Amino acid sequence: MQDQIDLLESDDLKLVKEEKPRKKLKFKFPSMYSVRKRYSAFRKKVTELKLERAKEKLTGYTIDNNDVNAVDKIKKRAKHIAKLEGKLKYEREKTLRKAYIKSRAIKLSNKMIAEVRMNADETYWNLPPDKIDELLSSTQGRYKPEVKKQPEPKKEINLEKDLQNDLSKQVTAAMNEEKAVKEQATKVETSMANNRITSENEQQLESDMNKEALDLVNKAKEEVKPVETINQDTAKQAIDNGFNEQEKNTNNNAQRSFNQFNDQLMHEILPKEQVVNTVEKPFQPKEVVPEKIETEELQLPSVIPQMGTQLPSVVEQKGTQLPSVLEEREMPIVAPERKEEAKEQELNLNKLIENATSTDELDELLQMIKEKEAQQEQSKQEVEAAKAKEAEAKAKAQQANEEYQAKKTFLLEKCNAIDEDTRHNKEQSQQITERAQKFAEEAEIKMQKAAQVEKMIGPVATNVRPVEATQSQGKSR
Amino acid sequence: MENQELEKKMMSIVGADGSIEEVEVILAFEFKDTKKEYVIYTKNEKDENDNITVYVSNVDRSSGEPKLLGVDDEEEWNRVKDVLRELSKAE
Repeated sequence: MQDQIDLLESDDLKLVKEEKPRKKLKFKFPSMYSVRKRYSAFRKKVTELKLERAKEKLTGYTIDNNDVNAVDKIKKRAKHIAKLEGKLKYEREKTLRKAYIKSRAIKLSNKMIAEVRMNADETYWNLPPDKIDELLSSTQGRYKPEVKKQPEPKKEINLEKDLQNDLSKQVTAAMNEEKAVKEQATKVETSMANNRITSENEQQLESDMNKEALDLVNKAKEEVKPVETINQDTAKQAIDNGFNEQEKNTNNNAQRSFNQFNDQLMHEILPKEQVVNTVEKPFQPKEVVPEKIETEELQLPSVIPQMGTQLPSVVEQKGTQLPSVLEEREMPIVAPERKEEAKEQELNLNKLIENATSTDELDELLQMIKEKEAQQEQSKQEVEAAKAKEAEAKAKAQQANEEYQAKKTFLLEKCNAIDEDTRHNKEQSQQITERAQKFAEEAEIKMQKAAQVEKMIGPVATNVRPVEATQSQGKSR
Repeated sequence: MENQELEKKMMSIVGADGSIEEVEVILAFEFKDTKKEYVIYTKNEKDENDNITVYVSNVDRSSGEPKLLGVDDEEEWNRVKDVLRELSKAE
């Protein structure tokens, strides 16, 4: 009965319309299972067959070796075949590795490429000698005829080709070098620009520093200005005046006391006549002066104990005050208004000193002077610090400038060297291109000659066995 | 277990009232001489004796689109049954 039927895959029976009622049958499970099993085996076979056919179709079709896209075509086909094989494998084993198709495609493509190569070699070596000659003499063949039959011209051509290749390589190398040099030059330029920017920054910094220093100096000057108003001379005069006044006072006092003491002595110790004589004698201060000085030495601690402490301090003040005032004079010229004010203050001070009769007042004045001196010292220190800062800034600026100059010179030297290199490279590349052109021209002439020789020999048959045939042969083998 | 391994072939049948039922195709064949095509399918319905109901339809492709028809001819029906009987025998 099985001979009377053909099993059908009936793939198109997916959505079918039922027009007439179906017939009904009852099956026991095992019998139905065996029917189902047979049918599924049949379907499996059919699909396998289909896949095999498709695969055969793909593998049967050969790719021309001369085709530029031969490798791509082979890869595509290998992918198709791998897909089919994957389906087949799944049909048979009901399992399939994830990367099966991909890896299989790679393997197949590699194999096919190798096969194509082998077939090409086979076609070449299986050719009879006369056909090989024909093939070799043809210029359009896949295998260059010059390789075997005409070794000498081929060698020449090869040499030429090699030379051309070498030249082209050299040219490309030179071009690359030129590019590299250009890149380097651009880098150097950018670095120079950066350096310029940094130097500008440095200059700006320097100017800022200078400004700061100047500000500090000006501030210091402003602080110093009121102190400046006290002149060295005025201070000296004031002190001198004070000292002289004090001296006069003390002298007068000393003289008075000396006179009193003398009178007492005259009355108590000397006889009356002598006393009368002495009284009658007029007072001679000139003769008394040396004695007076002696008595003064004796009297000083008792009569003016304050003076003893005051005088050395005044002298000390003189000693300390003078240089500071002199230093201050070195400072830049003060505004005229301020000068006038200073003069006025000076005069006032002088007046005060002149008017000062007591030691207390003098002490106050001295204290004032001391305070001013302290202020002067402070301002002096500040000025010195500002000066130091200014000097530092200047030194820094100078250093930066020097560095910048050094860098600039270095970069300029580098640039010059690069320029020279580029020039040299350009010259070389030009020479190379000229040589290449010459060689190309020569090669063209030789090719033309070869063509002429070919024409003289006559047309060459291209009866090369197709690759497909050899492939199939290889397979059958 | 073996039953699970077999790949099922499914088919959707559109009834006269427009209803669609999903069935499993057990077999599809044609007689070599008459070139008549048949499809045997089931809805896996079981009766009280654990027998499975199977349906048989004649596939008509005369209009181009396959249509399911009944098996009217008795002789034809017997022939189909014979085929099924033979195929149901264990290998």
